[in-house]
Order: sequence, then C-alpha cells, then structure tokens
Amino acid sequence: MYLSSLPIRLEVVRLLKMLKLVQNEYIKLLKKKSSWVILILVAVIAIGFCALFTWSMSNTYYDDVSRASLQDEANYYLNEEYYKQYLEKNADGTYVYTDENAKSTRQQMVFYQFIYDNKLEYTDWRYSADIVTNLCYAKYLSVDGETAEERAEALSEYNTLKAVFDADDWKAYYNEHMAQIRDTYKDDEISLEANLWFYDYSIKNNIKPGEITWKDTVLQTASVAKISLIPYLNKEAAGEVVDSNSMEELLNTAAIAVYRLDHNIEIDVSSEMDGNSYGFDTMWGVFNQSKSLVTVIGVLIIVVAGSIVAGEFAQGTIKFLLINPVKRWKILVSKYITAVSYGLALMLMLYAICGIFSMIFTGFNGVGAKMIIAENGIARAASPLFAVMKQYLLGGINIIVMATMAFALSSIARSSALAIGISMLSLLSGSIIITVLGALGFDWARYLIFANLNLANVYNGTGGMFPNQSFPLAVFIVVMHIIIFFMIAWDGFTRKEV
Amino acid sequence: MNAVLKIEHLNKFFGSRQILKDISLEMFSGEVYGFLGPNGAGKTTTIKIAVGMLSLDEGNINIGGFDMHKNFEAAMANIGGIVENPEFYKYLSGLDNLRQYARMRTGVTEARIREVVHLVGLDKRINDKVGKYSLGMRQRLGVAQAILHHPKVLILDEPTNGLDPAGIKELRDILKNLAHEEDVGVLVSSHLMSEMELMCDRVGVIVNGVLIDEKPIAELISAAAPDKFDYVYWVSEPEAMIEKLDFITKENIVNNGNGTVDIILSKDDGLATLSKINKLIIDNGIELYTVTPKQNKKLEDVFIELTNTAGGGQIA
Repeated sequence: MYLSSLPIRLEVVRLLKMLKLVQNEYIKLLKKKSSWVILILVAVIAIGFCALFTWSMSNTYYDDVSRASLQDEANYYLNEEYYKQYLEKNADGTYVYTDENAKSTRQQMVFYQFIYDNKLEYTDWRYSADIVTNLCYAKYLSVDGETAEERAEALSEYNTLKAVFDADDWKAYYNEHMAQIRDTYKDDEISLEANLWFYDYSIKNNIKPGEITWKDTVLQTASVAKISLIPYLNKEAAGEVVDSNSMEELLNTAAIAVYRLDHNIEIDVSSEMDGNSYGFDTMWGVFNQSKSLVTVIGVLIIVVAGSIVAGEFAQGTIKFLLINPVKRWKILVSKYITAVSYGLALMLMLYAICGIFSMIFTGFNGVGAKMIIAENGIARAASPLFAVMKQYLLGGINIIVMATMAFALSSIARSSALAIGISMLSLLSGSIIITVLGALGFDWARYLIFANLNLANVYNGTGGMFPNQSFPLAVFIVVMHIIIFFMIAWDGFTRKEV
Repeated sequence: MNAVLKIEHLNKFFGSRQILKDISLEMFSGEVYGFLGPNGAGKTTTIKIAVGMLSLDEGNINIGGFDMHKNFEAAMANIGGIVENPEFYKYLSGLDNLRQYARMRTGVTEARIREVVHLVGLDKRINDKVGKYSLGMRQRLGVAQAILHHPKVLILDEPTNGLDPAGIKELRDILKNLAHEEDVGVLVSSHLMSEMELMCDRVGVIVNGVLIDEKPIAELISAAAPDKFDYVYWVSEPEAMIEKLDFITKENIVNNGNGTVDIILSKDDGLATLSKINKLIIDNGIELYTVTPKQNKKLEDVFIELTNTAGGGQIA
C-alpha cells in the first residue's frame, strides 16, 4: 500500500515544487509597480473602447420608431399640389393623362385614396399581404382600362378582392393563395413545396401577418431562401454539379430563420457577431468588437516574455537563481508557464471588463440573447458568450507565438530590448509582409507563420491574402513554431554559461 | 574527516584557451578553506563550475556525496553560496527575496528564515526594499541566502567585498562558527591574504589555472617565518653605537641616517644577542629610545613569492 503510493507521491512533490517556482515568478512579476500600472492601463483601455464603440456605432443601423404611419404617407401623396406637376384636371374633375408617368401617378392616387378611406396602417396584414396593391390596381383598371372588356374584368377582380378585404380573414386568403400555387406547380414537387411553405407555415403556426414585425421579416427571409434554393435542388435531383458553398449558405439561412420561428427567438445576435455588420442593437456587437483589444495584451505579453529571462541577467540575479537545487529547464518552464498564463489571465480580465462594460453602456440590451448558427443546413442556438471567448482565444494564439519568440530571443541573447523589439516588429509587420508576398503572387507565402497567425480569420474564412487557408494546416504551422521557439529557448538557457 | 566537496581533475576551456588545468581539491566538513589567487587565476571559474553556473569540460565534482552531473539537484541541495556581486530583486524586501530562495529549496521554514536574518544582523532592515540596501547589507543578505537551507558546503566568492571592518569581523565570526560549530565546509575565495590568514584553516593557491599549493594556514605562516630578523634601533648617537658593536658583522648593520639603525640578526642569534646589544648601548651612555622588530615577511610575501615562482603575478 505504502509502496504503491510512493511514485504518485513523488509526482505530487515534483508538481508542488514546480508550482512554487511559478509562484516565485508571479511574485516577481506582480510586486513590480509597473505591472500594476499596465493592468490599470488595460482596464482603462477596455472601458474606454466599450464606451467609444457604443457611442459611435449605436443607432446607425435602422430606426423603427421615427417611421411615419401609412396614413401620413397617404396624406402626403394625396396633396393636390403634388399631382399638379404630373396631371392636368379637366373641368368635369377627371384627369388628362399627358404621358406614361401620369398613368402611374394616377395609379398611386387610387392606391393612397384607398388607404386613406380605409384607414390602413403598415401593420395591417391586408396591406403587407399585397391584397391592397392588387385591389387598387384592379380598381384603377376598372375606371381607366382602355377597353370595356378590360374594365369589366378588372371590376370583377376588384369585387373578389374587396370581398376578401372586407372579410378580414387572412387564413382564407392564404388558403386561396395555396390553392393557386398548387395549381401552378402541380407537376413540380420542389417548386411547389418551396412556394407553399410561407403560407403553410403561417397558417399552421397562426402567425398573422403584420402583427409581429420580426416574425414577418424572418418568414420572408426563410421563404426567399427556400425559393432561391429551387434551381439548386433541381440540379441536384438531375445529378448535376451544384455550387455547394452558395447552396449551403442558402440552406443555413433558411434553417436559421425557421429555427428562430420555431423557438420564438426575436433577437439573433449572430449578425452582430460576424464582424461584417456596421451597427448593432445589443451589447454583443460591442463585446464582440472588443476582441481587437487582444493585440494590446499581445504587446504586454511580449514585454513580459521578453524580459522574464533577460531581466534576471540585467538585474544580476541570474546567479542567485541558478545556485538553487533546481534544474535549469524547470526554471525555464516555470517562466514560460508564467508568461503564457499571465497572458491568458490578462485576456480573461479584458474579456470580463469588456463584457461588463459593453453591457452597461448599451443599457443591458440583449443580455440573455442567443445567437443562431447553422452548419450543413442544421441550425442551433449558441451562447454568444462562448462565441466571443472563441474569438478572443483565436486571437490569443497569435500572441502566444510572438511571446514564445520573445521568450526564445531573450533567453539566448540575454537582451530584453532585442527580444521585445524583434517580436513586436513581427507582431505588427507580419501581415504587411504577407500582403506584399501575396501581391507578388508567391503562393508559398501561405505556409509562412505570418499567413497563419490570424487564426480567427482563417477559421472564419475571411480576410488575408490567402482566404482559403486550411484551418488544420494553420494550427499545425502555429503549433510547430511555438515548439521550435520553445526548443530554442530551452537549448539557449540550459547550456548557457553564466 | 569526510570530504564534502571533491573536485577531481577539472579542466575548462574558453575556446582554445585553457582556463583551468587539472584542478583537484578536497574540502572537509568543519573547515574554512581559503581559495587564494591573483585576479584572473581561475578562482571564480572554479567556483562557478562547482555551483553549476558553468559547464566543465573534463573532471568530476562531488558535493556532499552526490555527483554533480548525475544528480544535479541532490548535489546542489548541499551547497550554498555567493558568486560575484550580491544582486537581489531590488523592488522586493529582503525578506521577500529570502522567501524566493526558500521556495526553491527544501525544508526552509519561516522560523529558519528569521533565524538566519538574525544571524547576519539584518533584523531591523529585513522588511525594507533591497534597493535601499548598502553593499554591505546586500552582502549580509547574500550570506543569509547561502546558509538558508543548512548546506554542507558554503562557497563564498570574495565575501568581504564592500564590508566595513566591523562587518568583516562579524562575517569572519559567522563563517568560523558555521565551520567549527555546525560542521559546515566553507570555501572562501579572496586575493586579500591578511583576511585569509585570520579566517582560514587551510588554503589552496591557484595561479594561471593551476592549483600550485595546498596546505594548512599554520604551515604556510611558518613557511613565511623568515630566517633573518630586522630590528630598528632609535638611539641618541647612532655612529657611536655602530662603532661599539664589534661582535656583529658590518654588513648586518645599516645606518638609516635619521637617528635609527637597522640591525639584522640571524635566526640562530636569539634573544641573548638582543639583550647583549641593549646592554652595550646602555653601558656606553647612549640613550635608547625604542627597539622595534621589522616584520619584513608575511603571508602576503609568501603569496607573491609563490605566484611569481609559478609565473603568475597579475594577469591583465
């Protein structure tokens, strides 16, 4: 019993010893006044960023509140003065059409008069479901149609639609539409299904048009995506090659929209999170953008990693460090662990500060919101909290590589200035080098470390000179560099003559 | 006696230049071993190899029974020391600096730290930042650091640097006490002979990377004892005195011209001759003010002699 536990106990003792070395490094790091100044600086930058970003980007997207009512719109267009420039009025009150423009102006008048008479608003389903448009066109033709037959036909059409309008029964209206669609696409299964979906779903889930704005929009999005998919599905059914990327994109769009309707999710923050949108409604847009501050942490970590070994030489304390009964590689590893974990801790701190302050500055908007993402046409809800964290970590890889480089340089050259300088230069100029090489058409440049450092871009498939980088390859190149830099540090430090 | 530090056939090259040539030495527990040599002789290089800061090209080092190469951590657990200047983390207090080293060694309690601080006399200033310490205080902190973990071997490279006379005496007492009472083997390097004379039990002399001599301090001092003694007589009438001294050969009498006369006596002459001279002066009515023996040969000279014969001297 005692014997069997001995090796484990030895391992525990070793681990504790290692932890004590790391503890030493942390004490040295955190007892420096400059470390605290830096920490406070990071906090100030984070809070300032959230405030500025909220202030500069909010409310630039769209403004629902200030939209005029449909009645106001009708009032505006029914103004006599407005029409004078297009129409001439006869003595009996009828209009003279001078040209084609005048015709459409007349149609508009009929349309707005109808809205005015029926006190319609945007939210009325009959307006959004296009009955009014069709009805008004029929009414216009019934008066202004060129032939008697045309006028008669238009009048009958008008009466039919007016009956629907007066009945105010959207389900009946949708059912009628569906009957028409069934008739039109009776031989085309794929088109039939895609075109029917909108009405079918609305009726089954009792989504009255015009009642809940976001549902209308999402329904529309899903329907458009489904109808756009028809040619792809036809091609696929015929065994032809299809553009799988754009097809998947449409499938995903449809899946996300359906998922939101199924789960009654009003706010989907994924559009704010993709980094391409210019504005936002919730805290997540601000929070997600704060990932760009990870570079600030990178600069700090390069300074820490570049001076954690060289600093001992500069202070002359290296001799008192190495006279201890601890193998050199353990000291080196503890320093590396300290530098990297400190970087992660700073990143976590940045994450927490930006999370809290983007929440405060945006007035707690969308705190509990989900982001809906889809892969291979299957949608699921994800926590934006983790999504932001993922972006942070992907950005953090870049920093770890540069920190390891600074660490290696500082342990072979004993000069923190050199180590910090070169690493900082690499961090800031790497992308320029790749841009130049890429522009010159050197495809091999995609295997250089700088082309793979921005793992977030590689992962998201956005940006950079080589947009189609493979993510596993990028990870491989990055990990190899970390290992090589660390081995250089190891070799330099363990063999160094002090 | 068991050897706590054993260096065997140590060779070290810097490039093609051989810095250490076949150095072998043994240090026993309970002794203060003086490592003597002029600047650049290889003292610090030897010490750095012994504490693992430099690699060795050939040879073996054994500390407290553990081979340095095969069992680095166990060997190093038995050694403590100061190499070159005592530099510490300036922004940490003396106590926090010691805690750093305590964490890297085994069995150092907070009580032990306090004990060591008291021993080196830093109690009052131990909570101050090291940046405010004088060189002497840093040297004391260095000693505290070195003995923190009860090492069997203590290696100090020029430990009296920057200490005032009182501090030097204190350090001497601490080291002697550690060696003689606590059975620690203490190796002290220096180029100051007078210091070694007061501190060491045994010395090894290194010149140009070669250990040229190794013997107990008593032997070295007796070797330093001259075969001729020089006495300075201050008298009222030097010329008259010289005239009367007929039993001493003229070559051994030097008139300094300032009222003093040097008389050189051989080892065999003894005290009888001295008293004979004194009696002669008094009897001749010459006034005798003082007689002082001139110590013309000390450990210093032995050392310079040794290093010169080995072709050493000062190396630029």
